[in-house]
Amino acid sequence: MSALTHGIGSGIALGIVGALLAQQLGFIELSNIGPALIYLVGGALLGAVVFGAVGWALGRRALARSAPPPDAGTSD
Amino acid sequence: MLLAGAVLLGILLVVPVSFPVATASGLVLRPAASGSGTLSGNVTWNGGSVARYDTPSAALEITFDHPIDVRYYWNTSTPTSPPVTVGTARLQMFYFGIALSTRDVVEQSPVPGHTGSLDMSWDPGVLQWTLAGVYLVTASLLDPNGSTLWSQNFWIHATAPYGILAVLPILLVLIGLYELYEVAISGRYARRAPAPKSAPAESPRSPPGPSGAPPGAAEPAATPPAEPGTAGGDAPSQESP
Repeated sequence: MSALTHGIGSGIALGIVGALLAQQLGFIELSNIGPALIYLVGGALLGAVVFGAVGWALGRRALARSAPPPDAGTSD
Repeated sequence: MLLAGAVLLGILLVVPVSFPVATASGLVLRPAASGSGTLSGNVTWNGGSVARYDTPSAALEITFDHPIDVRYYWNTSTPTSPPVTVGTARLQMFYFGIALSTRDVVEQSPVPGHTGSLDMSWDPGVLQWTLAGVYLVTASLLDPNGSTLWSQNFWIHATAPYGILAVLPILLVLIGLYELYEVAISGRYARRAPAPKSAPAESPRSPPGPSGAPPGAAEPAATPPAEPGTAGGDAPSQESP
């Protein structure tokens, strides 16, 4: 699994959990199905985008760290 | 897999189960419409009117750790209005558009009248451990045929004992953050593969290369043995003549 998909999956979970947690803490209400779906889907999408970007950036950094060295000693 | 399990566990544990407390009338996908032309009413929750808790931000703060007394008062709009017969008082709690809890108090011998009241005592019991959050509650009065005569929506903000359910989402948040942490530190484990280095002291004992040395392999023989760190990729080809 790549860092991007890790980030997207984590973001979806965090978005949904964040919406449910906000309902428990009283910031939003999920009594009606329409607004509830909007909150859940919106949270999942927002989390996927944000944490997907974070995962992508972290993956890029990891790739940069593990890239093979340039061919410096093979010049002849 | 861990993430999918965490999401599933969170949904199963956080979403309260539909749990009819008393006579359930099936799933109600929409809260009942408020208002009726001939009947007006008022509902008190442990003695206080619920009329002011009409928005989620003004929800009634409650805990389910003690029995709740809900009293319905009703009267006809005008004294000249025809008398009405109230047969049932109903209290419903909604979550995702579903009646999470429905409790009815049925008048045993309803009689027509211009005013009246019904008392409902509710002990949430084990629900206190599963309900936390903001919920829409609909209090309604029904005639003996089941038609809604009057209803009122209000909001409650229930807090679970010790905030037990709030622990689970926080735990899932921590799991998600741990996933990102794993991604962040994965670069440390993906280090570059070590470049093939020569073994200068062991070059005579090292396994010789192919028996057929390349034609230019004799030229480096004049040079001393390779020093550590200076060997390029052709160190294994050094052989004494």
